[in-house]
Parts: sequence; C-alpha cells; structure tokens
Amino acid sequence: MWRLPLLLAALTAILLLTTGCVSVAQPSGWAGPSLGDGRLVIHSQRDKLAAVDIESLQVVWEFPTGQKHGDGTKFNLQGIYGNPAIANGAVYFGAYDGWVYALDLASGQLKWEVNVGGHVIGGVVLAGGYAYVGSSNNDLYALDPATGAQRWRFSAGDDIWATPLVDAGVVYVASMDKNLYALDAADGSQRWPKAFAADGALASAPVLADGALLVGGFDRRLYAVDAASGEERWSFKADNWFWAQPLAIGDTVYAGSLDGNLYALALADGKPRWPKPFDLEAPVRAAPVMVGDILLVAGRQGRLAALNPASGELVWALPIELAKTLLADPLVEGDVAYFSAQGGDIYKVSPKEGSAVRLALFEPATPVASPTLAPGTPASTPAPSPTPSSAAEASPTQVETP
Amino acid sequence: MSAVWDPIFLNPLINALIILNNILFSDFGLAIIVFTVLMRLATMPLTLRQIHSTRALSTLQPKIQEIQKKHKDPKRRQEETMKIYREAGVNPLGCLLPMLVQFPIWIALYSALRITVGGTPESVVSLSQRLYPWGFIESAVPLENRFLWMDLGQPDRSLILAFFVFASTYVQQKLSTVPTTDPQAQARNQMMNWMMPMMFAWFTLGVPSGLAVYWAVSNIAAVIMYYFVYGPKNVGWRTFFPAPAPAPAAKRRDRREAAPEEENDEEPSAPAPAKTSKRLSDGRRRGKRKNRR
Repeated sequence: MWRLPLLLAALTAILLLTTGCVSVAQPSGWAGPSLGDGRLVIHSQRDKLAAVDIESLQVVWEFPTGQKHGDGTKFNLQGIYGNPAIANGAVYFGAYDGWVYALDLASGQLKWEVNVGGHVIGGVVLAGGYAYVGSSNNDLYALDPATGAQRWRFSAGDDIWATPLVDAGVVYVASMDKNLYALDAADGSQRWPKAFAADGALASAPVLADGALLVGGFDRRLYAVDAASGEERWSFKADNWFWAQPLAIGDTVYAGSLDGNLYALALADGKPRWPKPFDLEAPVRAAPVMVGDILLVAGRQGRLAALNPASGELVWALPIELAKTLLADPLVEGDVAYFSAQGGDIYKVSPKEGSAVRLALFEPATPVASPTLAPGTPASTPAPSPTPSSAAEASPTQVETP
Repeated sequence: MSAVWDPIFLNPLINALIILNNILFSDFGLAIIVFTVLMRLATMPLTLRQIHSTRALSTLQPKIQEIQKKHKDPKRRQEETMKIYREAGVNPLGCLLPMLVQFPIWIALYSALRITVGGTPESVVSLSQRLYPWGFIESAVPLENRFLWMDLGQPDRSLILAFFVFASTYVQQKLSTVPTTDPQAQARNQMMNWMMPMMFAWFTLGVPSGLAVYWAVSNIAAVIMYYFVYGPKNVGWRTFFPAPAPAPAAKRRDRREAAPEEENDEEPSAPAPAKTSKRLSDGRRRGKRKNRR
C-alpha cells in the first residue's frame, strides 16, 4: 500500500518537471534595428544592445558589459521592445527592467539612466528638446535628452506600452486603459476635452495621416481619430487585435492584425481596398513597411511577404520563410529593409532582388537566406511559378542574388 | 498534441478564468480561488471515492498481510490479494483517480497562467490567439496580475506562499493518511507526510504563484470537505501534530481523555486518521490501560 503515495509523489514530480514548471514566462524583447551615423543599433541578445558598423558589419560595442546601475546593482535589461532612437550622437532606449538609457553612439558608454518604475515596452521618441517614453507604471515621461531629468509626467489609467507620437507640439499616446490621449508636448496638459476611448486596450503606436490618428486596439478595431478633436472618424473590425503600427501611404492605410492578415483600407472611410486581405497565417505584430514601391510585411512565424500595394498580390513567387520569430518593427534604409528576429538575428531584405540575407555579426561564417524572386521577374508583378525556399533550408554557400 | 490539447483544455480554461476574473471585480487571484473551489466541487465524487477506497484498503490490511505470510509464490499471492479486493468491492487504483484527474488541470493551469498573467508582451500576443471573440472577454486584457503581495505570473520569493502550501499540504496529507498497524508502513506514512509538503513548498518557489495559490486553496478545500464528510471529531487540531510523550503527571488525565475516543475506533465507518494512527502506534500502552481498567 505504501507504494501508492510514493508513486503519486514520483508522478507529481515528473509531471511538474516535464511541464516546465521550473520556469515562468520570461520576456525576450523584440526591438527592431535603428540606424545612425553609419551604425546599426540592434537588440543583439535578450539583455544586450549592440552597435554594428553598417559597412564592415563589425560589432563596435555592446551594452551592458559589466557595468552597474548607480545603486550598485548589476544591469539586467531583461529584454528591449521599442526600437532604439538615435539623435544627437546618442542612443535612447527603454528596457523591460524599468530603466531608460542614453548611450553614446560612438562608444556605447552610458550617458545617463533613469528608472521609470515599470517595464518599458514602447520606444523613446525625441522631439522638441524632449525624450518621451511610456512605462508600465501607467506614466508617460518627458525627459531631458541631455541629462535624463524629468520635465513632466502624465499618468494614464493603465500601462503605456505604445511608442508615443509627437506632431506639432502635441504628444499622442495610447494606453492599455483603452484611451488615446493628446497632450501638450511642453507641459503634458491634455489637449482634447476628453481622451478618445476605445473598447479595448491600445498597444499600437499611433500614426498621423491626413489629420487622422490611426491606432489599433485589442477590441479588434483599427480606429481613425480626428487629431484636432479626438472624435472617431471611422473604425474597421478585424478577426483579432491590432497591435502593429499601421502604415499610411497616400490615401491607403495598411494595417497588420494578430489574425494573420494585412489589411489595406481607404484612409478616408476605412473601406477595404483589396479584394481580400493578405493572409500570412500567423499574427502580424511587426509594422508593414514600404520599400520603394513594394510593401513588406512579416508574420510572427517568420514569413516575409513582398506585396503589390495596389492589389495586395505577392510580388515574389512565394513569401520567404525565415523560420524565426518576427515581431519587431523593421527599419527601412534606401532600397533595403532590416528585420530583426527574436534572438538577435538581423536580416537585410532587398525586395526588388527578392533576397533576405542574414547578417553574420557575431560569427565568422555568413550563411544567407536564399532569393525567392525568380531571375528576370519584374519586381512589381507576381512571379508566375512558385519557387519555395527558406532561410532555414538555405545552404551556407548560397549568396545574395545579384 | 497541442492541436487537441489547446482547444479542448487550455483555451476553455483561459477563457473561463477570464470570465471569472470579470465577474470577480477584475481580480485574477479571486478567479483562481473560485475556479479551484469549483474544481474541487466537480471532482468531489472522485475524492470521496478515493477516501473510501483508501479506508477500505486499510481495513483489508490484516487479511493481505496474512496472505503474504501464507503464500510464498508471488503469482498466487497476487491472485489471492486481488480476490480479497474483489470480494470487498475495492479497486486499489481508486485512490489514484482523483490525483490523475488533477494532473491535466495542473498542466493546463500552469500554461494558462503563463499566458494570461505572464505579463510579458510575448504572452499577450499568445493570449490573443486563444481568446474567444467576445467583447466581454477581450475587454479584460491586459489582466491584472497582482494579488495581495504576489505577482501571479511569477514565483513568490517571500516564502509566505511556500509556507501556506507546505502547511495546507501537510494537513491534507495527514488527513488522507491511512492508519496502519504495520510499523514499517507507519514510518513510510510519516515520511510521506513530510516529503509531499516539502516538495510542493519547493515547487512553489519556482512556479507562477497563481499555481501555488491553486495548490493551497485546493488543499484547504479538501480539508473542509473532509471536515464535513467525517465530522469535527475526526478533524481536530490534535490530528495534525505529533503528540509529545506525555509527562508522568499528565498520563492519568490523558487516559481519561482518550477513553471516549476509543469507543469511536469500534465504529468501522468512522475514520480518525492521525489520532487513530497515534493511538495505534502506542498500542502496547493502550493495552496496559485497558488491563488496568
């Protein structure tokens, strides 16, 4: 009879251990890359930021490297989610550890650090002599970019995960309290009679286009809000949340949803522009970007698609399968885009050439992703025959398509 | 596996917890507590069956020991043992069933907590794929992961919760321990009574505190259930503490107190696990007392 309790104890132990009970949810971060003064600043590891020379691809510096906070505790960034901001020879970013950092772009030396009392999920925005950043302690901070000193602070009703938007002396910030606020950039006072209230939490960074603020919510809606009055112009409902920052080009808004679709909507009224949305079959958290005349969008599972913005059809024969988690907002520089995968891999994507090359930043060899654009196929038209290929399948000898 | 597991177990659990959260003032800790109580009530028939099976097995021990002495052939011994079980209408695996039923709940709850109150943006993206498309549920996101002093998605390092888990598991374990006359079995029971609580307390330091809240509340609910099923006589405070060796002056008083309880032992259906266990372990002394009387 004594075997039963022993068996139960053993079963319990095995089950708990095999179900991974030894760990809890850990942040990984999904900060995208930023570029300034010839340096690509990337989220190289979960708790590291690195600067890479864009020409030589040599790592110039990494942060942190053994430094300590002012109070003597060791740095543990825990993850970076917002793309770093580069201005005035400095890199500004907030981390999940609740600190906002300013580093010297040339050397990576810490210029200042400020504890904002909660996880920082959004990015830092520099405008008008202020650095704006939201925190999970519900506050939006306006900091002095030179010293990190707090100029003013605005308290929302819940976490602020979105990167704020600054335009014409107004800071627009979305909060998980379901409100979109318009604040005076100089003192943080509210500009609208009352904040715009959505039905769900707002985590996406707003975008301003034609006097309308475009912001997506966890209520499955993309809202167009009048920037002057804070009144709703229209809203569009998808099958899941909107978290990706929308992209407004001309009279069209491109918005990725966690339902796996990229929607093209008329900026004027929110009516769909494509016959059907483009389905990436995985949540779209990364913002879509336009590189030249090609629309690039990435799904969480690592699928990267190049689309004709007018029709929503594939430009490449097939999407590239990077087999990496893509959640970060990409960086567009000239005719290429840089995508950052969770874990630190950086992909340089040339839509016209149909190539995605993984940059070998911390290793000698450079395995690259294969091209997916059939040679000779015009970039703006869909390739007739699918040629499946993926970064995971690519052999180390494959090179970028010339 | 997840293609079946997620839609059948995990996603309904996540949505049920969020509905409870919304009903219970957006307090996810309360949602876990109420969920635990509901689960305990749902599995009550199984739990009662387990208790009865365990007790029945204990009553069969003398017969089984007799068989073990009598038959040297293991096959024959097993056949005879099973025969006794059949005659008594006892399924030896009946004790395992409620525990086995709880395992999927633990695993699902653990995953659910990682996703719902994990707190990381990655877990929120994952949550978006599991919620039913009802505004009532979606409006709850992001969920408040604070409950009392705890972050429900993270382990509680303060040791307070570990203490509660330890104490509640100890009490529950003590109540469910079957009294036995076999000294070896007594030693093993005693070891289990300490090992299980220590093991769960140790796990508490590594799992999301929401799961440890589930363990603690589940144990407390089991103790309450036990109390109502078997009555206050069998679930007293003295049940849970090893009695110190009585001082000579106190022996007579102790005997007087013990006398009416001995009558309870004569009732086959009345379980008194720890008290009985203690008295049985002092069987020699009891015999002396009876002789004196």
